[in-house]
Amino acid sequence: MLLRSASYRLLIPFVLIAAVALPVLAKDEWLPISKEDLALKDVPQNPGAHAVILYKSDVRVDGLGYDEMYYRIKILSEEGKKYANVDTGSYTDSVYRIEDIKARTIRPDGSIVPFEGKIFEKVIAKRKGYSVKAKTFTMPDVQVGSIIEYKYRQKFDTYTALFSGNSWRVQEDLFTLKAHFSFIPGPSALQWVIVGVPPESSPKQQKKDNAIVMDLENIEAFDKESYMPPEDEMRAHVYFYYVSADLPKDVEEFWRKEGKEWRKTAEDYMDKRGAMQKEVAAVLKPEDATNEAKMRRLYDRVQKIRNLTYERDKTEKEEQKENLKDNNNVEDVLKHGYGYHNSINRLYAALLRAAGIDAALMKVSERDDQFFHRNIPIWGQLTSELVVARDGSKELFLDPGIPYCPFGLLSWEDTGAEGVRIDKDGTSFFKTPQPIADNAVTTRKAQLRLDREGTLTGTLQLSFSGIEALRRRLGWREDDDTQRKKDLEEEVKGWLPAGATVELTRMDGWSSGNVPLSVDLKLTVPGFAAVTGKRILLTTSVLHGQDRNPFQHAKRVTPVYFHYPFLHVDDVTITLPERAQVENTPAPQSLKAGFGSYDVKVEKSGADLHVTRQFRMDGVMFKTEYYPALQQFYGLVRAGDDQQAILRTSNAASGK
Amino acid sequence: MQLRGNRTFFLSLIAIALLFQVRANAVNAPDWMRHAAKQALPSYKAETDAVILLDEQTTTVKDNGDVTTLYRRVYKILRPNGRKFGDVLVYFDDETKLTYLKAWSISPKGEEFEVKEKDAIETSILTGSLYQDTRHKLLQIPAPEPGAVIGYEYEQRRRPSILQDSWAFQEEIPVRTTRFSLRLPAGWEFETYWANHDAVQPKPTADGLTWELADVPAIEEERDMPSWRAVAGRLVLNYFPIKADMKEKTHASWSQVGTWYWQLASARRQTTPQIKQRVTELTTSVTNPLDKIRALAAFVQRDIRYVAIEIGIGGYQPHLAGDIFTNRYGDCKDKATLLSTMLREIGIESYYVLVHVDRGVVRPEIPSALTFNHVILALKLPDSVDSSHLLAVSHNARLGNLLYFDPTSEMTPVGELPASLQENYGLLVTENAGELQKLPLLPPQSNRLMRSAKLELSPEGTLSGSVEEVRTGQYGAAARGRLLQTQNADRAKILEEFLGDFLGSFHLTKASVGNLEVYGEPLVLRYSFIAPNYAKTAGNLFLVRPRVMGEKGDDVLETEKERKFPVEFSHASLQSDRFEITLPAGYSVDELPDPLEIRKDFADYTSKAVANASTLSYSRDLLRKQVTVPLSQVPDLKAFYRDIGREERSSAVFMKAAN
Repeated sequence: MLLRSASYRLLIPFVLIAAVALPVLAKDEWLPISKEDLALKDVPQNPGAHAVILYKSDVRVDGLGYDEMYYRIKILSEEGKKYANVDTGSYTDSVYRIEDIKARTIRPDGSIVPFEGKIFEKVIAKRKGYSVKAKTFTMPDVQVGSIIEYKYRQKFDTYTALFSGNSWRVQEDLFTLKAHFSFIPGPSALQWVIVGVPPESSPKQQKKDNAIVMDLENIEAFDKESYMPPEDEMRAHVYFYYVSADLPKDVEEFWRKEGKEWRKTAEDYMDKRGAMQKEVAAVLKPEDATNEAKMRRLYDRVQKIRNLTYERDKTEKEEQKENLKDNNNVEDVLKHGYGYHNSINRLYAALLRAAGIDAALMKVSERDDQFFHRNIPIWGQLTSELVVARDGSKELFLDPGIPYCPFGLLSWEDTGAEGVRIDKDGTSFFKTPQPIADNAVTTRKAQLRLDREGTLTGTLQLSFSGIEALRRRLGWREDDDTQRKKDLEEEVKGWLPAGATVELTRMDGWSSGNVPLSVDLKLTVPGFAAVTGKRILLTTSVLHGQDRNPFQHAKRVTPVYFHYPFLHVDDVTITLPERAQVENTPAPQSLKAGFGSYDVKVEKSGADLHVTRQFRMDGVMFKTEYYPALQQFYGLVRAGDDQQAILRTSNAASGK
Repeated sequence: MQLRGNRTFFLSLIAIALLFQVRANAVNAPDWMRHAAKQALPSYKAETDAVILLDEQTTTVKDNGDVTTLYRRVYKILRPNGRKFGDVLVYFDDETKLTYLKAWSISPKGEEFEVKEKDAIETSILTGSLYQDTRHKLLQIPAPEPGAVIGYEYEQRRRPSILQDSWAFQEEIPVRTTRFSLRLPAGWEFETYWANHDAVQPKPTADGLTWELADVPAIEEERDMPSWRAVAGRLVLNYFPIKADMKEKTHASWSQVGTWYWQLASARRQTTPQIKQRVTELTTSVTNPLDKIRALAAFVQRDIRYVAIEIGIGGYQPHLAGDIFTNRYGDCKDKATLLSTMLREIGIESYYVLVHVDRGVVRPEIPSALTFNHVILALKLPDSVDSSHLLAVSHNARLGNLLYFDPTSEMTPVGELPASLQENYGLLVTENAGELQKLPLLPPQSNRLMRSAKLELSPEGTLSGSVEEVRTGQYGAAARGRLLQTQNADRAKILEEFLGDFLGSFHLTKASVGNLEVYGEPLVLRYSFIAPNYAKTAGNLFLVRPRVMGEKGDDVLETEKERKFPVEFSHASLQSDRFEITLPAGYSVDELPDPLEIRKDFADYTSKAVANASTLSYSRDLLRKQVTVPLSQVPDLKAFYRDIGREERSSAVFMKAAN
């Protein structure tokens, strides 16, 4: 729990402790420069780097309300000179100030060029006495081989500091040779969690001044990669938070205690049994005999509630004009006909209970931005509420608070998501079911005709279902049909060689999550097949000729993270030109890996070629040791998709 | 000088603005907005996001040169994408005061909203400079829904250093009615220049003149079209004051623009002992004047960091050469200033050349200082310099041979010119004069990409071997720039990304770069790879795509929409592939792709595959002769690209010899 109240009186002893450290911290001195640093031309641990951080420190003293940053950076290439433009980051001037900026350039020969230039203050956003600013400056006389050095102090209100979390940014975009971190906390107990820091290097709290200290060497530069997990989970950092005196020492007890409080609040919100029973009676129909039928009927009912979470952000004036009343309980949600995501889910749980179905709430950490860390006693990690309903021995995880989310399915962020579940038996940690590839299916059914010039024409029916359809519906919810048509046509064109024309002729299923999203298109692909004197060479995976292996690089640092498993099913029929004879069709391909599979088969059927292709990805997270296997798998898929059927044209066949 | 605006910053600002939440007062929309809202509209294409119902600009000039401009604009939002027009961004700085800002909306349900300047967010981050003293106010208009009518009005006051105004009346969406009203003091005169529109006569009003246009079509973005500013309609007006001391504020000719810049900038080229010393250090070991020029140019290109700090007139006026030298940083005009100062030390005279980095924006018939956004230099070559091998040279009747050089472009060596400046216009600034010059278009052979490969196919279809790429001109500069920005350890990824476009599965086994930091020499890339499953076996046939890598076709014209603008290439060029593929034993040629030869005014393409029992040889050349393909030749270009694309997908067929 973050501290919610504190007294200025409590600060006094910490001001005194901090004051002991003050004479040391206040010294306006630069650290000595070694000959080795001056002579440094490359770092073996990070060869060819444009620049390296020789030293950095982050010294925070909450009792005195400041955080001092110090950077010493060696410039190793022309490109590295860009680090001489310094931006201290944005700050809200009513909360923080940036003070005492000092900087200098050390030439390769050791001579010093003090920074005497101007420090510019940029206004990022300002209105009505509230402003967000940033300070920026640029270092003089910076050459390859120079060392640039700067420090500044972030000054803040000692009281304010108690209410905000803080973190040490351990991993920078540059390789760091040495780093020193220190944090002298304020009056309350400070706890911390390390992410990506070796346990043996964890921060230690000193007895003499209460400072939490950590010294590290050789910290890798942080580099973003495609298909990587959320950045906050990958970039090394130490997160600090103040805790109130009544925080349980045992983190499990924290979750129990907080969970209990949350449950009470939620149960109070849902405690409108009479109103719920009345609504259930009005909604359920005689044919809703089973629990599942009742659940579905009530699910449809609550999804008709106006969902404020998914509406466009409104200006305050618009909100004033609309004057929506607060929902204080589920009866209000029902009565007003609107609600936010969690309140709609609470209404659903309350209706289920009123219908005699066991239902509870669960809170999860949505895995698009972050993963759940059980060892961090911060309730705010849990960002979304779901409904868990029981039908006999079967448990269902449900989220009607997401528009178009079909019954029985969760949006991908909430699948395989960890969180906390509280029911009458108490708190338990839980993980929502991991989705399977069949929960996100894309099917492509094409009926095409090939002419003797190699041009393909015909129709394509696309169908997206489950998580795939939900993702698309949510992504396009603010758009109109014109935009959706344009986007889909562009997407399909991207699957085909240059010169293809694609026209969408029908699309259905935008307004309901219970049916697949289906789209019909007309295609023309001039010169798709290569025509030679005697033959036509036809790439049989028509819709995958432009695919790329997404894992081309030999080197991989972070795990590969697919958001969800998926299945792609193609069924393509190609009517061949008259008098063209099939000389050869590609052999069937079948790859089976622990994480997925790929099957493609080409069959001759009368005057047609019939191509079936199925690509299944079952894995979500791949550690780096599995990267070569994944890379090889995609390479073989590409090879399979490049296969060609060989057609013999009649002229050649007759010997002309 | 800097381009104004930065989309990323702008989007960030919108996000910040949402945090602030606007409080607005409900007041009726003004009559001019209601009037505009009532009009019947013609039918627009389904993808039209919004229509500007009214765009009005009223400029009032006072005797003392103060200019007050009132802007009014009314939109009707037609599609969800049109919501973006509800974010109003207004510019101001220390010299341009924003005196009034208000906005209104009428929702599709008829609800009305009003927001004022106090509701706006102020920001200074919408520039690419390290620091610029310009500010913007962002005002979010409530309820910008499809069907809504939104409008705003603001007034700016300024005392401009140049008495010129412009009315940009063409936009990315259709404009129903647009007008420009001018109120000049008695005795003042004006002249007009029309760009991309026929001249229209103004109508007299009670206190001035008004130009008005109706149903101005939208300029829809097309890939590889000329710069948007080069094709949009605008009216430029020069005002001529009566007072003699104000006359120099009006530039009626390029010469006057040149004079203005000469007076602003030329005195900044003051040398210092430190500059002199550095020039001596850089040039004593070389005797040839051209080598001396190269040494000084390289110093300014690479040892002076590009950093733009623009405050007030600093948007146009360079810093002092001594300050630039001491700080070792500056923007384009600063770099030009320092290099010019250093060149003087070796007896080479040079001149500022003002340009716009987008070809076609500067128009010879419209003299305007406000059009430029970049500064380069023209060096007066001594007679002793053999300029025959220097490409960026043109002869000036008065000054002799001039070598154009851009000290800001780190990768462009002396003798060459960045692509965007070629066949562009630049204002040559000489002592109290200016002359608009057409900058040279460098020949195709100066931008050369020669890719040659020695490869081998295994019986299983694995392709392996080595490739050498020799890159000059823009091909060298672009690749050099990307490689130098990338850490050594990650440079292989650039090649992996390239090969990944053509090879399904491969392993890069070796890679090296030659002349990476020898900017005057061709960049040479050498790499080797192994690609399993490259060739396909089909019964007793073996299918091999001879093209292997590289893409010369383009889908730029593959759209159903009718093309409205010419296609513009960045530069003329010559690209060549020469691949030798050793075949596995036991195969004979059954079929080869037909050779292709296409010759057009704008480009030539030839390709040929030949084979014998052991080797498949493939060669092709793409010669781009022009930088602009006129609209009339666009269908030819489309067919040209389609033929190349078809050829690139073709395969050679080999047959296994019978045992």
